[in-house]
Amino acid sequence: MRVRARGEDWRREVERGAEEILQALSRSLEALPAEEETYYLPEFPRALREDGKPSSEGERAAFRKRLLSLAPSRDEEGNLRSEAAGWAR
Amino acid sequence: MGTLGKLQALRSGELSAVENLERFLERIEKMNRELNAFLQLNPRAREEAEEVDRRIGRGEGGRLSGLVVAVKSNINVLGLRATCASRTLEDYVSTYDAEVITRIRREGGVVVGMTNMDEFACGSSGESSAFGPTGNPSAPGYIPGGSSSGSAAAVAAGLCDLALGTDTGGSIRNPASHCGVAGLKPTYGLVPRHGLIDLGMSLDQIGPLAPDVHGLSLLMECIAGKNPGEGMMLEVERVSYELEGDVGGMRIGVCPQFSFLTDPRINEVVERKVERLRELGAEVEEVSIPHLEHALSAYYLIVSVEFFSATRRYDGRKYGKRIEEVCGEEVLRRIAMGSYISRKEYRGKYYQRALQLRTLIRKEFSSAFRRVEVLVGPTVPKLPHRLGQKLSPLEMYAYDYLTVPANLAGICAGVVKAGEVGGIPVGIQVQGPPLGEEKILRVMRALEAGA
Amino acid sequence: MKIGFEVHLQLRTERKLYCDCPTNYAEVPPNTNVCPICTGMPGAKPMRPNRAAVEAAVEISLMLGCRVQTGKPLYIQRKHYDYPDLPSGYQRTSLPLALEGSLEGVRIREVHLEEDPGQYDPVSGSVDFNRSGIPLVEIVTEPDLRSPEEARRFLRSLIRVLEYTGKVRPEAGGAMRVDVNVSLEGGGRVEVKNINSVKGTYRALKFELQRQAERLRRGERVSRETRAYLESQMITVPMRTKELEEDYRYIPDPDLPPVLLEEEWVEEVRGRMVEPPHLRERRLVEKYGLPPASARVITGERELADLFERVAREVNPLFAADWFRTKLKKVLNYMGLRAGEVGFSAEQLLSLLKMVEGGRISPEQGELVLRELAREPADPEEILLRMGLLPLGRGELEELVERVMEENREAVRDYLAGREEALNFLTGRVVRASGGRANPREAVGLLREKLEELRGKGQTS
Ligand SMILES: [Zn+2]
Repeated sequence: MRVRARGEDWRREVERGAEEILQALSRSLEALPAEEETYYLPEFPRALREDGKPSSEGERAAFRKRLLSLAPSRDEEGNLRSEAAGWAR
Repeated sequence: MGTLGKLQALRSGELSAVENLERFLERIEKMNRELNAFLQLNPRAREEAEEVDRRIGRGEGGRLSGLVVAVKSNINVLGLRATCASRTLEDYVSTYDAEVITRIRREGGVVVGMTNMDEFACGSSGESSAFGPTGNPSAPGYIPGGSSSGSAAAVAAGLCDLALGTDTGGSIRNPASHCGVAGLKPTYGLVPRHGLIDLGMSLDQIGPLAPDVHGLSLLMECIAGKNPGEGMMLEVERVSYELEGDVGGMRIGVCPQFSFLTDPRINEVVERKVERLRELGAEVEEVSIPHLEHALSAYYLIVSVEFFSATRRYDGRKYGKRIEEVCGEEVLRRIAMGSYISRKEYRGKYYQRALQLRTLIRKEFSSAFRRVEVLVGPTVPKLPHRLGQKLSPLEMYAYDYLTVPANLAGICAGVVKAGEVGGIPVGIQVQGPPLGEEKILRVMRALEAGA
Repeated sequence: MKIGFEVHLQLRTERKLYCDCPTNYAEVPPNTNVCPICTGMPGAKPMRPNRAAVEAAVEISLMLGCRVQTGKPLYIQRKHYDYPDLPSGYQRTSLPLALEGSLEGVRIREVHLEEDPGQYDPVSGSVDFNRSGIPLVEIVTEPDLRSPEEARRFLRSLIRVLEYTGKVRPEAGGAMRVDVNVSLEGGGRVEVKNINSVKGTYRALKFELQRQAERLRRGERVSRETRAYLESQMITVPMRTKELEEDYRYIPDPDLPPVLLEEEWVEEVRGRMVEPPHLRERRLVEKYGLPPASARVITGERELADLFERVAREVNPLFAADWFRTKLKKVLNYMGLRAGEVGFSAEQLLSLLKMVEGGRISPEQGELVLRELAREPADPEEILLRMGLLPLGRGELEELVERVMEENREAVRDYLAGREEALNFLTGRVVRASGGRANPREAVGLLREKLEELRGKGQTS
């Protein structure tokens, strides 16, 4: 079982390790011929979605309940509660 | 009894969906403590099986007619926990059904529970789950492989009929190989991803794991095909596969780069199978994927950037916890790598180079598939390590050497058991061109039948 | 002073940009118009972009004279930043759909299609995702504006263009977001966010102008930074650097295919496009000889300009323009109506204008009828009848004139003694006694006639 050491040191260690791994990985790509970049695999149809009647209210109401029950904090009107912004204080 | 036999029994009423479910639940009860294949069982499974029995009675059992399906914990099933085996989402109860789940329900499948996995699918051993490692029922004491460790183990241990896994760089094929079951990574864009929790969006595909090739085919026929609205899907309505075709005369490719860094014992098992295909009348030809060795680097760079992007929503404000605060080491490492290389100043050096290499790999595969119909070779270059043995990150990544190319190229690839080395299963990988699923399933079926 | 804008305005569609949730976010309780997609649930994938939104953005681009990027893949980018209103930790924004337009001498750099974040109250911390995923058009200008006044005027013109398409939500409804960058000679570029009205923009700019000028005068540096506008206090404050990730780490969204704008489709949109207001304004001046101020008012809303051009075919355009600018605009403002919301028809307005132009009723009566027309649309003839405003018959007027002369003998004597101004006094009395129904011109004529008649008789008596 893995030991969960969760200090700042551990975090920094992992991040430093990440950079080393990146160097190792990118070395392998340096000498390769330049090519176009492939973001997307096959040629997907570029069709857009038609505007139209929105989703049903019942479906959304059921989802709303689940959304609110998952939220760490919420108010009686149904807003989620998050932190206040620093600049607004 | 194979998948088709089971289906026959269910349809004829010889076995009810409820009985089928209960047999599995009993086995799970006995074996899961040891295996840790399931993280959660579906409390409504019995009701769902009863409903399927009523449907079968009306002759509306669907393609699955009460077959029991295990689901990897990165796929949303309404009301169950899609934790991704992470503390980040340990309290996240799915708010909706993934599209594949909707389809499985429609076809009369019964979801039995959510399976263990590497945390956020970042791993190839099945050890990085926040809820403990998964065992390998086919090779006790060894890793089951990953990241779909629980799904492969559940199939191997007979805890379900079929299972859903996901494959970003080998996450279905790798544990299928180590656990000795069949698995398929479909062509990118063939199976809807809505509801699949992201690792690398341009690489991820949901796919089936099963005890046999018929099981793979059956589950594919249920889940594949386009989902209106979903952006990255091919124009394929539904699929249907004929598996019993002859492989005689088929042009089958082998590739020197596949065996180059692979354990000779594994190569030997694979070569015996290639020989078998030749005996069945296939023409075996050598083709080359010259830049194969660079695929691994490109893969890890791309997947890190996409994973970094995908994890930005885990901010702890809407559900779950802030990912960086609770995740395990490999997840944190990938976020750190993704964050680093997506920085403006490094884009050219890492991300763009990786995307260029992806183009190269795609081209090389597509030229190989102009000469041969499918490629066969090993799945994982090494035998699995013992559970708990410590590997460096790069050693761990090396497991994916032979599986990531298919994801980079967007092609399909399947695995079926080829043999054993010292009692440890070894799978043979069959790769095909985009939408070449029927061809690879046929070859896999021929290999399985001739075992 | 150099000022440039990034203006975001919501597009009017039925469904959101990447999901099928409805868009009437202001009319429903918090977190009602939401689904897994627009709340960033794990695993949710966006749907393809809403065509109506893409079309609206293209139409706006064309109206601003931009070059639409046809025939090449336009990637939808993920722009990453961490903020409570952003459910996925990134906002989707398209590569420019169009480049290099201009509006009233200000260069438009590019036009993008974006999705709106949710609504976040930075003070209380409450978050509502009803707005999350509403399509936005983003217009980026070059820093071509020189003063807060110029900026305000430009912003109004820009909004007018957008509202002309009929495909954006009205700015007044809070559907607008403005980021403004402002720099003074010798100072760094300051970006101000969190502005959501024209008035707010003007105030923020005034404040920045003063603040930056003051610093420079004292020999202090104005550093490059991002500030937030606080509506309640009409000031700007620095945003903490932690709250703005400077590197958005743009990547093409792997979940969405790039948008491809076909040349042919864009030309179709151009064919359907309405005439842009700034061009229409110029045309009204040239074609009808209107004073520029009237043309600006009339083109303020598309429906107002349409109404004008309809009536200008049958009444004198200058007369009509004057009516539009003074009376019609006044009545609409008073009733809080937009031209697009009026219930009366162009024909009804036209028939009213004809009555006034032909002298059947006075301009003052006309205004009364107009007010009634806006309140409860009907045929103006009917309104006249209903309000008792039908012009007096000859006989009625004669009776009135005689009565007024009888009651104001002194004024009559004055007139007869050669004091012309007495006639004005008597006319006023007649109009007043008629309750406004008497046409002053007719009353004057009849009065003079009767008085002269009296003068003739008086010689004999
Ligand atoms: Zn939605």
